[in-house]
Amino acid sequence: MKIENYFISVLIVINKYHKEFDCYIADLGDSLMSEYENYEIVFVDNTDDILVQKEAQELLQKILNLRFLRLSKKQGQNRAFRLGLENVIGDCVVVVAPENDSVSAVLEIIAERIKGDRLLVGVTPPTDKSVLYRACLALSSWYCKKFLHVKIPVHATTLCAIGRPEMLVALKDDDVSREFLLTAIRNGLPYELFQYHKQNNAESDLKKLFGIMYEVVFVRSFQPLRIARSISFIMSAANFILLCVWVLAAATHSGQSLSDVFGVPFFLINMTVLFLILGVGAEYAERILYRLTYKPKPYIINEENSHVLGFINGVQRNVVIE
Amino acid sequence: MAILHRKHFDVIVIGGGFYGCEIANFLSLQFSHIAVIEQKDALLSRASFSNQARIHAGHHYPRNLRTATRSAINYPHFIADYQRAVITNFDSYYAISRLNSKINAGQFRLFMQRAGARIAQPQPKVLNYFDSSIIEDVFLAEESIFDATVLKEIVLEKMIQNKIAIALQTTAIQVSGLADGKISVLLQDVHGATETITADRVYNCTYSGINRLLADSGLPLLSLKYELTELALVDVPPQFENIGITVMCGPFFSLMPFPALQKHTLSHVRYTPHVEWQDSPQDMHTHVPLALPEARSKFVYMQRDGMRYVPALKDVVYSGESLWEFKTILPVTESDDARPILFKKNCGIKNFHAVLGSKIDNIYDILQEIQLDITSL
Ligand SMILES: Cc1cc2nc3c(=O)[nH]c(=O)nc-3n(C[C@H](O)[C@H](O)[C@H](O)COP(=O)(O)OP(=O)(O)OC[C@H]3O[C@@H](n4cnc5c(N)ncnc54)[C@H](O)[C@@H]3O)c2cc1C
Repeated sequence: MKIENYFISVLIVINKYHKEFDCYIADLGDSLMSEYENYEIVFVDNTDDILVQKEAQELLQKILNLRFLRLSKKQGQNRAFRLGLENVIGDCVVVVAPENDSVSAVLEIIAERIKGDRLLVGVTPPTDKSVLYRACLALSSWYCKKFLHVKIPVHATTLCAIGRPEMLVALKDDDVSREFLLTAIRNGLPYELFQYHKQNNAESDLKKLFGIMYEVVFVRSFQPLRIARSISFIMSAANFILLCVWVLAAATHSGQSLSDVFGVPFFLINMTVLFLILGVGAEYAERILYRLTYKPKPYIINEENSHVLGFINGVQRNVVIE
Repeated sequence: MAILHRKHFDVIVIGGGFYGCEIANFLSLQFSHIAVIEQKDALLSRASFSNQARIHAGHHYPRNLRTATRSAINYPHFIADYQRAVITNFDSYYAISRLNSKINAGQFRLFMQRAGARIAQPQPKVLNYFDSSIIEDVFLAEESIFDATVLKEIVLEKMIQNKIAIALQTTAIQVSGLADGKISVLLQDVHGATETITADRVYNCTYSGINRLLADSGLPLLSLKYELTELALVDVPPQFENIGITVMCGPFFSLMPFPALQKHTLSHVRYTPHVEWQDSPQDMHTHVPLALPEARSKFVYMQRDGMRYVPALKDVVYSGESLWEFKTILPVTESDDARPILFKKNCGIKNFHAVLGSKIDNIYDILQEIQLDITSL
């Protein structure tokens, strides 16, 4: 028997179009139809890609209860999410990223949400992120845990189920909490932090919350990585100039040792920079390799990796505010 | 037994909806023998019954000045001519959404001024029905509703007075031109018995059935778009009993009283059309099914979306029944939401005309055109 008394909205925001996307939506539509009487799939196209519009028209013909929202031009993710959240009509909204969240995981999170009013956050395997990124993330998680007493889910995706009341409060509230919710969803941290905000309305709490969010967003949005890259780029450029000078000097002062010509400290600095170049090079090599080999595919939850769904069984919460 | 008492008429009108009946009444001023052929067992029982019962005064069409202005002009005439069917103790509120709306409150106000449609500020207590975070403004519109049953009575009384022959439960299955310039119409009753009658002129006023009759007669089709529409019949909480709410202008909802059944109708631009499709003149096959199909109600969807704008909509209760119809529109009007009447003269046969009705109160526009057509001969 199909479930009738619970209305589900599945929100998908796509920023980049993948071929597999159509099959995913069709699969999701079929699965929802077989289990639920009242549901909708709302997908927000934030790609600026005419192809998506074409594909969407075809999907709309084929898939029941599909809604297509298109931004007039590519916008920030928050705007796209907001558009989606403002338009969904379900008892709960399940935010899904097709490239990460398998249809079975989506169904599971819905089923869990119906059982109890908990909010659930999904997980994704960590392998698609670079070493430096993971290091920064680990560092930030450690920092949040140690000093802010917040456990950050290292591998959370945007897959989550949020109750309508919570969503409405957030969307109606002042800009602070609205931005907060959107940022939280975007970063896969929706519920507990949000609840925290609701329960502790004091300004200081909000500030603390913002502190936490800042930390999380800062790391999540590659900020340290960007800074690291910029620094290494400047250093590489400086190093290159120095190397040229060094080669030129070596050529004109043949017969003398390098430390004789430039002095030991200079040589050591130069070597350090050289290593840095190699390090950053390796980092880039890994990223390039990853880009070449990475193909978005649904994350299938099977017996081996079913532990990632621990939170669904109530064993493990992803974020704990103490 | 013969379906009708005569074999030849001056005018045959096929389709006993509001348009067909009123065209027959109008023509009876100039012609003596007129017949109306209706396939259902009562007049005005299809689109002329299954609609929102709104007497348009222009407010509903802020993106099309022509439709809005025509409605504003026709409105007082309709109110006067069909007074008995018009319900006046009713307030119609138009709310402008902040989200996804194709117009804003300022534009709506200005447009209504231009179209001559009257609006006023609602009482403060009414504003509380709306969620002000997503509703920009609310206007009280001078608009009325009609009772479709009383409208049918008025139309029927006129037809009897005008001595118009009416054949109910009779389907026109084919129309063909005769050598002497007359037009023959092949009729079939509910038992399958057929009969041919003739006329000097024939009007095809069958709304969603227009192309079926043309196709069955081997005549070129018109370019028409169809939607299988649902108006959910609901019971409302006391505060909504004598009011109508329409959120503009885009994928929003309307809650309107439906006096003929003592209920309200809930409709939604996104959910009322269940499926849509099109006939084209190139294709000789019309795609409108003969009978209205059963479909699962979208009431829950309409209600849920509506609750975002008017939270008290959660107390609206579905009666378990809906009004279903094949809404028929011209594909060209989709982008600007215009609702012109289509008057297609000589559809493959001289003096065989098709009329695709639009708003009920726009009947005067087509009567004017028909008059011009007759006098031009
Ligand atoms: C969902 C919806 C909401 C609407 N809301 C409004 C509104 O609020 N206000 C407004 O003014 N307008 C509204 N309209 C538009 C309005 O209802 C129609 O434009 C109008 O009723 C058309 O009248 P008609 O006589 O042409 O069609 P109908 O009333 O459908 O009459 C056509 C008749 O032809 C008969 N017929 C068909 N084929 C044959 C045949 N072969 N032989 C014999 N008989 C045949 C049918 O049985 C039917 O009775 C709405 C329409 C829809 C669908």
